[in-house]
Amino acid sequence: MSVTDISSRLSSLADSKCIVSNPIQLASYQIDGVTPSAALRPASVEQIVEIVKFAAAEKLAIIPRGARTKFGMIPRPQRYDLALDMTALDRIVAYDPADLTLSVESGVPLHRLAGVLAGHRQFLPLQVPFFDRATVGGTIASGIDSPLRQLYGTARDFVLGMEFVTAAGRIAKSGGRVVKNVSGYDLHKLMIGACGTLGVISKINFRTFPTPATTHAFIAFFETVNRAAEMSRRIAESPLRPLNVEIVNPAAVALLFSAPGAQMPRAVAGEFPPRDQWALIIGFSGIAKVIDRYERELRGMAGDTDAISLDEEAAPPVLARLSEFVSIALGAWPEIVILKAGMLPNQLSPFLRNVTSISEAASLQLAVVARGVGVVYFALQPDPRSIAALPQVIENIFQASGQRGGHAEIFWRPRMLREMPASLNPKRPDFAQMRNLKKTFDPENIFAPDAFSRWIPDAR
Amino acid sequence: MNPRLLRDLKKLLGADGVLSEPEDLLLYEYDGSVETARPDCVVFPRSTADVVELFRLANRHKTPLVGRGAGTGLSGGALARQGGIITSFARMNRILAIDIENQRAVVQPGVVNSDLSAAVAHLGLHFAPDPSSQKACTIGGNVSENSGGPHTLAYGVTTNHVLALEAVLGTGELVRFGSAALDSPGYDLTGIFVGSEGTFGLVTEITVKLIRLPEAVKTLLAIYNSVNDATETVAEITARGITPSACEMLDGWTIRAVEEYVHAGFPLDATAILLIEVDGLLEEVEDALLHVKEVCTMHRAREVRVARDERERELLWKGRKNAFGAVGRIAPSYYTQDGVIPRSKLPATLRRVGEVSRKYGLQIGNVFHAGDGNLHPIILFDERDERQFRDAVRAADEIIDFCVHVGGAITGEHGVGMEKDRLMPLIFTETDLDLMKQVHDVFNPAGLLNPGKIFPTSKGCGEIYVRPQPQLSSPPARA
Ligand SMILES: Cc1cc2nc3c(=O)[nH]c(=O)nc-3n(C[C@H](O)[C@H](O)[C@H](O)COP(=O)(O)OP(=O)(O)OC[C@H]3O[C@@H](n4cnc5c(N)ncnc54)[C@H](O)[C@@H]3O)c2cc1C
Repeated sequence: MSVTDISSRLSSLADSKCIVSNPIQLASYQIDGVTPSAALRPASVEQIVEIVKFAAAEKLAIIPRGARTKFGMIPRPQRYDLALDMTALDRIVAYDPADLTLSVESGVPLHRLAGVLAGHRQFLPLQVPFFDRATVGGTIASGIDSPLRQLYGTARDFVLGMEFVTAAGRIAKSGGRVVKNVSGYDLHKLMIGACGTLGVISKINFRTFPTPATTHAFIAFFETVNRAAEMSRRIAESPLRPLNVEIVNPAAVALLFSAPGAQMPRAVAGEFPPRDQWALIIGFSGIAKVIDRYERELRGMAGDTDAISLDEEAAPPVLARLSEFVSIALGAWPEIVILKAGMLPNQLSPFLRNVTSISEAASLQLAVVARGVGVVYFALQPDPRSIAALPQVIENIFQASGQRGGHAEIFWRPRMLREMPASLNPKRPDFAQMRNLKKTFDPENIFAPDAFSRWIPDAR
Repeated sequence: MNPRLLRDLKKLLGADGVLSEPEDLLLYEYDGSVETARPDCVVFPRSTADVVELFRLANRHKTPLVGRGAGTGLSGGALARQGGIITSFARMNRILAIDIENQRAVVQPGVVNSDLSAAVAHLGLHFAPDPSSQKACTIGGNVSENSGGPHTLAYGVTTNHVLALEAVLGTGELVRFGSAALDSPGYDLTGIFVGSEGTFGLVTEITVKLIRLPEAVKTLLAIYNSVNDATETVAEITARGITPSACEMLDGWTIRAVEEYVHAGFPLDATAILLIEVDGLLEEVEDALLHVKEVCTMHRAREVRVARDERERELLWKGRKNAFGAVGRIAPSYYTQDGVIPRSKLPATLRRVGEVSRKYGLQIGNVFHAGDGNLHPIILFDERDERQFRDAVRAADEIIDFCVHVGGAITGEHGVGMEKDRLMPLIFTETDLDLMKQVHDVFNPAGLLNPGKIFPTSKGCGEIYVRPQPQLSSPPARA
């Protein structure tokens, strides 16, 4: 069907207000230069149903979008007919502070939601990159994690239920709005991190959390990753339950804290960061006595190395920068690839050393933030000379992670890689079941077909 | 049953690996629920390879396969509703690996929940999900039901602690989902599998997280003269954002049943008690305890006792964890329900439970995970009286109906099984159920694994299965 055909058919079936026809606006939905035939901004789940039914009948590819912050997570689309802009579905459907439960439409911006929750001294532990722009739906669909997972887990631990539109154009749900529930299969667990490949998420139910008392932080600097990892291990073996524990390599320290936009509070700016040091950043909260205890114990563990304590004024902006690592790296180094790895905590240090030497050998710049629980983000920046080596470097990193019992995947692609074969990600033994699920949910492969090929190469 | 299948099973597992005599099967007609169903035989695999082969045989003979852990399930999950082979994991009960540094354990499904915690206690670790049945139930059962426990309130349910699974699917494939390292790429297959009630696959190996034991724990008993005051305390604790690690409630009738059996030190004349625990750093615990006490007192607790030492603490928990056993001693039959509601609705819901009890003239005890809003009304009846049994089920349905009405769900932790399949339409539409069925078919296309569970069957709503006389508790026949 031609673009004009699609537009005219759409205008007959959907509320014309929800069709984005202005070419300039339409261009803003481009992914790697690919413009969709139409963009739709439905204001109700019923409108999504209509659009999906139409797309299914015509076998048009739909890519649901929130605030459009994460296009880089998917390969360059080969099929991209309709952009489904979810930002008009932005209602807070129900919020019961006394029950610590919340139900929101997926287009609600995270920062607006945070404001509403803050009014009741509550929050969602979704301290994710692009926080000021991202929507709840995009955040959940992309499965992006946050430093706070150390204490609060990830979305799978606090999403209670979901409503979504299936490829057959029906409204389905799973879970509920109570904090404990085993009624039926947890379909919503599949939707988290599925990048819109299984259905269009229209509503998400969460449990909310009481905002901790004041948040403080402690940063220790080390010559080597070994010593940073050693301290992280000692924290894990202690009775402390910090909000986050992150190992940051010297390049990432520089990106986070000395880059022009960093705007660190003055109290902090004078003291750090020292050059060429690894940092271990720990956030924690509690009443005064508890804070004292953390500081005492963390100082003890840090020993004679340089370390600073950040009080309730200084800590939050530093922790916020840390959680924005991905967006900051992308801002500073436009053509980068970001890899994400899962690693057993005791393998972190040797793995990080491996990756450091792999990227040094290929003259790539490498910025790393590694969560103490064993999740690592690597930003690799090639220069014109080293760019050709990038695929091999990625391959080597995959191998290094596999050899240490972990796994890695391409999290964010630079433009050059988006053109490359659908996926470089290693094959996994459970691909067969994933493929079957994708077929079951979306037999015509209309939902973000190329996003699925992020994991499964031959799925297009 | 098919003699060829039986012969093949014995060839695979040895004569002592298969039970098929009617008297041997009796035990396996029951689990912890009020349902019954007769299997054709029971088998005891020793390895994953046995389970793979077992599936092949069952598939060849188109015979259902039903997994079974300890049979403590409360929704008939482990019963062979359509006959077939019960696969008991009693002999696959080894802890395969404990990784201290990474705080992981790899276990076979038949490992008893509390055995894992006991095995790692000296390392300062534990497996956090702690169903009240933890001394008997298996981790395979926990995974299948996504079980919770008193400490779920702070630590989460089973799914929050399972990292990877090995299973034989209903397609016959041996698969591994997830990994010991976090965030395996792609769909969260572990997440969808946990809680699938044995309808996706037979679990043969489980990788779990181990959690560090807290530095300090304080357990407090708040005693009330009114159920309402106790439930309002819980609502207020939640609303204030205090997160105890456990918050359990027992009503007066249950307290007396428990005291007689366990002597936990619960006051016999109380109308309700709350058992509240806080844990963490010493400094945190002291502070949280103060807040909890304050809320209890504000809501007219007549007394608040803090366990002075580990012995007192254990005694209080013994009282809680043996409540069902205590009830079982005094009542010929009881039906444990499992509804879940928003916590602010606790006072209204407990009032409703009281009304239902009066309406049917049936004693209903309450002992439950109050902090999660997870109710367990225990409805007493005499199963020799068919009318009473029907009334018990009606009373239970009315309570569940109310839970749904106030925004809750039909089961918080015991599962749907064959008990609540008919109630699924209370919360799910045909579309929801269709999609769930399609997902079921991805893993279990021929429906060979645990058939007749979760999805509503054609059984009409008014029609209720009446359990036959329980042969187990009847006097042995004269020789
Ligand atoms: C006194 C008492 C207290 C209880 N307290 C709680 C509580 O606090 N919280 C709670 O959540 N539950 C509780 N329960 C319910 C029950 O103990 C849990 O559901 C428990 O997880 C069941 O474990 P099990 O080993 O007995 O499993 P079973 O009852 O044997 O089986 C349960 C389900 O799991 C399946 N299954 C078992 N093993 C496997 C396997 N390897 N592969 C595939 N499927 C398998 C079965 O087919 C069945 O569907 C309680 C029960 C009793 C009797």
